[in-house]
Amino acid sequence: MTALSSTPLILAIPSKGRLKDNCNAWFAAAGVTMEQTVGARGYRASFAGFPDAEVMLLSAGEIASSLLAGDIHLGITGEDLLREEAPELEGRMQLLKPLGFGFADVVVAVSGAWIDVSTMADLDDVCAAYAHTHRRRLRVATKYAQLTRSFFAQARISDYRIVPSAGATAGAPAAGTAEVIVDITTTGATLRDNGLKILDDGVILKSQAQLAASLSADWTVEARSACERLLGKLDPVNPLYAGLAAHLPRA
Amino acid sequence: MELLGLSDARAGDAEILTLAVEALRVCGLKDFSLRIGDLALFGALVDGLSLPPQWRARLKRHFWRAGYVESLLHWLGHGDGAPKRPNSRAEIEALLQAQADAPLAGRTREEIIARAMDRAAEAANLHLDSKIADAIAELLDISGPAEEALAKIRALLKTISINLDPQLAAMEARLATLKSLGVDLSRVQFTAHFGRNMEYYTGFVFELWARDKEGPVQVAGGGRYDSMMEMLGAKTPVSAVGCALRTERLLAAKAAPKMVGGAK
Repeated sequence: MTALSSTPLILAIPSKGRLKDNCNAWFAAAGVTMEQTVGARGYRASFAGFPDAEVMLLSAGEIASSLLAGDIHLGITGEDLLREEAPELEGRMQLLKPLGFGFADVVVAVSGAWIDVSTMADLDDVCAAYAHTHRRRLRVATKYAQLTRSFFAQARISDYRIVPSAGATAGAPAAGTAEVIVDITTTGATLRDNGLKILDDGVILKSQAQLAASLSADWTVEARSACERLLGKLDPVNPLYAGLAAHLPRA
Repeated sequence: MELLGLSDARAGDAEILTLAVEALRVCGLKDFSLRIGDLALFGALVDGLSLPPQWRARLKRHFWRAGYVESLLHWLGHGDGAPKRPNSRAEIEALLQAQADAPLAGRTREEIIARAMDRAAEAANLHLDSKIADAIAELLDISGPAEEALAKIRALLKTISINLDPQLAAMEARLATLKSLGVDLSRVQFTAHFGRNMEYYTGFVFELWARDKEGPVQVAGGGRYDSMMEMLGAKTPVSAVGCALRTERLLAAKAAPKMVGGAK
């Protein structure tokens, strides 16, 4: 049994915000009713008619790390967080279904005042010139260190340094704590408000909420049958479980 | 076999080529043909173009990717028509002024303006006369008996007033070497886009082909790789030309029944 619960199958959904509301709406549209468990401070729930499945309400980031650790079987969270947590998803997680909400792009953005920079190739030049002129590396503020490293490596940029950012990343260039940022954006309004622009070829990932499965969770026979039944109910059209079962080890 | 550090490149090319041909004959293989090319020819051609240095490097770097270099040339020659006008300093300052609310983000105003002006100047230079771009693409397509191919290249270069006489003379010297060895020049094929698909070659490249019982086989091949020693750590440039003999294939070709008309 997994560490978090004794119920065979655990599904985690975001505990608050628009992602949670969208999850609830998706369940409701599939005719699945979620019932909050009394006395559990609202962080556990179950589905009516699915006694073998438990719903945990976690933060979007925790869902990604719990899937990777195998603490939960299924989870709904942003693809950006999944790919940041596990740059190589293969063999560790299976993306079962993009859910059509929670859209966000992970982008490279620079100050609008950098009128000489519109592509990653320009940024490469500026990184090299900056290191030479200022005797230190250009700083990139982000909470997506993994995604940033691999994207910059693809663009053959190496003269930079990552500054971890927990929040308000878009304010970093104005605050003087970094020169460039990698952040998520939906409408671009926050970036614009901070005087930033997205590079023409600076979209790292077009992300949305995903229903994902952990391949390292405890996939007991009971968990599998509960999962098959639940996925069949949530999406009667696409054979989601068959797609997952092909990647699970033999029970 | 390798010849390192010989400053006379022509003599080096001739020596390695002669050794390769003689080695085949010593092994008893009389019937073979040659494929030759010269990366220095394309290199010198690109170096003579009025393009920003990084674009010249890009064209040379992609010589190996058949089709891609042609698409780059097409874009340069036909991309968006007329050469662009560079932005003046006043225009660039106005662009920056329009972004007065945005942070300078660690760079000085002057740094940004200077690079914007460099970039504008580069964009303005990023254009090739469409006639030249098309002629280079046409040149890369030339392939045939060496003497005819070189004549075609000379004629084509004349139409765009580009002079590659030293490179063409070097190729003619190699043909003279082959002729003095008694090689029938109609069996020597020059291919402009031929680089042996190994990125370390920098100049003359050649392959010797024969037939075994299944069909054509390459029995020897080599060329010039003048930058390799430095890449491997040499402190000064070391000229290098070399050739490998494929002994197993040589034996198989020698054992194969004679074909009427010989190897192709």
